[in-house]
Amino acid sequence: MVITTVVTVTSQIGELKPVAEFDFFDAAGEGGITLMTLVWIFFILISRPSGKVTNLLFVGLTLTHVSMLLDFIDEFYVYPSDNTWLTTFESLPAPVGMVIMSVALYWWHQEQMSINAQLRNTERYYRDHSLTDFVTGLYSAKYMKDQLQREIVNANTHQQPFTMMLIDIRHFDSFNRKHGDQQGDTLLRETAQLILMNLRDEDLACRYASDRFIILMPNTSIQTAQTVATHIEQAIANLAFKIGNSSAAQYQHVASCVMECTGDDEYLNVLDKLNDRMLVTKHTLNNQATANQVINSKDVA
Amino acid sequence: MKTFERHDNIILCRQFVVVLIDLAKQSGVHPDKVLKGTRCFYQDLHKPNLLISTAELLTIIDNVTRLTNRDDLSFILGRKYFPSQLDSLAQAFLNSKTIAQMLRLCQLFQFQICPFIYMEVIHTQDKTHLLFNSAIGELSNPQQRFFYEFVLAGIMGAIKYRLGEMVPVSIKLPYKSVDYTEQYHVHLGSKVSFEKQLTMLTINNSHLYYKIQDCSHSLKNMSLANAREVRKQQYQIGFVQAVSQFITKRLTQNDVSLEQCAQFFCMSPATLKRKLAQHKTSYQMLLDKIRCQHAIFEMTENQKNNEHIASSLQFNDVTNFRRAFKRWTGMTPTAFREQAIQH
Repeated sequence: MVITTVVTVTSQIGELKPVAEFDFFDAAGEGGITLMTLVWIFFILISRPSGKVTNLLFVGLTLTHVSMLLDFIDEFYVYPSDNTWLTTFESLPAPVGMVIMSVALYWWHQEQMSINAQLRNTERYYRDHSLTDFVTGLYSAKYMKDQLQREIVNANTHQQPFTMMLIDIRHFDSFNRKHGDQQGDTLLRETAQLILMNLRDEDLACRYASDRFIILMPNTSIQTAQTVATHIEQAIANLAFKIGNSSAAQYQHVASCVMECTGDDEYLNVLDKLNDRMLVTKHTLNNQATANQVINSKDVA
Repeated sequence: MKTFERHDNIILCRQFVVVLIDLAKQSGVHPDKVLKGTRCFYQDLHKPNLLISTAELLTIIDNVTRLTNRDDLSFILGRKYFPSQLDSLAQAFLNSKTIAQMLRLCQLFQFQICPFIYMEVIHTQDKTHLLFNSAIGELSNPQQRFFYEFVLAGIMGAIKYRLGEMVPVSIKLPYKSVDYTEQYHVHLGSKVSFEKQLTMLTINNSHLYYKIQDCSHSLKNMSLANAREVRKQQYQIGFVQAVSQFITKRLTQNDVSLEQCAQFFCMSPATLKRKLAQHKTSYQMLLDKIRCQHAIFEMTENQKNNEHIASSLQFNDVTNFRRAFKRWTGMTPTAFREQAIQH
């Protein structure tokens, strides 16, 4: 749009030079620069998320581009003496644009510094009181509580039940004891990734505490949630976790439980009930495990 | 029995402080910042038997919770505690036949296991109640939370370790509900109720006396013999714990006046007052707390009426008891009962 305006205004005001007067060498150089600024604008727009920094970069580059374009066009047009302001004006947008771009680059730098800090923190066992959990990269329990409260209100107004799911890594304590906290953190991170891969777009997974993950599934029946839970269980059971450089696979198992919520309960009650259910699930799993052991030992006998 | 006070160096650094420092380091907090306000430096920590006072431990706990801003430190410390931080006692615990035996060990070797919190075991019909109190005087709210979370996470971790799974228990806590209940869910497993005026864990006797297969009597005895040797050299309890236990023991039958207590500990009433003041508490505060806990326990666990409780606490009449109860809890006994039923 800016380009077309510039082109039309200049062509209206100016008169075309005779072809003999064209300096093609100069025109090619200036045209090249104009084209390149256009390419830069294009890449800025496709590669950066929209936001303050991107907007500033775009404005700055566009102003520079306008200067270049005017410079390029005056190779072909002669302006009448009463419109010489254009020649004076043409050099103005570029410095302004460059100042704006410099500010934008400084902000970009700050943005990158905070991203770097965050990335560094994922290497540590670190939980800040903010909303993300730095070990797994998931949101924290605090964020889930906010979302859960919102979902309960939503369920009440639209009569739309939702489903909550808990995932608990089995024998995480003994894993930590055996292999250390660092490996425990890696396991948590990889489990979190696997859970995310098995979820649908509208589901929200958060780290609850320690080895427990919580998932909110809006507008979902308990059967669907059960299916997803089975997918997650199978995915994690097939994860061949490696300790450091060792090639021996450590297979992990998770316990999961799902619960449908209609929005009648307060969010703390929902969490209480859900965790009680997990206790029951784990108890049943333990009983099954001991029963299997008995059967196996009988087989051997 | 020897008693220790807040400024006595009795806390083993490798047992409590080192893990805390490591956790703080993982959160990007420099160890020297955690140790600020104590006489202890990071370089000293490698000394095998470095001791600090409970006052210094409290400072470290204040520092570490403020600097890391994490709400799971106490729980992780508790979960890691059993069995790796129990030294020579670990084998005795790992070869106990029941959880009840492990509790008995906790009481016998409290100084080696947990000098700052003491435990009282009360049996009712088919349940056992563990009542916890500070052995080192009045604690600030965060300190109190930290210690109780640590103790409860440690106990639940040990039960899970030995029985193979979490068992349902009921837990009552004196402080207000926290905004990180998820840590309680995951590390303690059971429903926790807050603002109950006392710290109590109730467990079914069926779990407490469940026979654990994996145990060796001789290994346990060997470890116990070792531990007894250690205990002979240094068995102490916190001064406030000693006074509290004196009160608890005599509460229902004998004279529990300050003068009697001072006489029992062979010191003047003034000295007793001064010593308690050093622990940020007073004789009246302890007496009120223990009476209040007794009344609440009788009310909620034994369903005793006001007349019974008033006479057992040596009140002249029920009106006096009601007034005192209101002063302790801010509620009348009737209102308290109603609230207890609702939850």
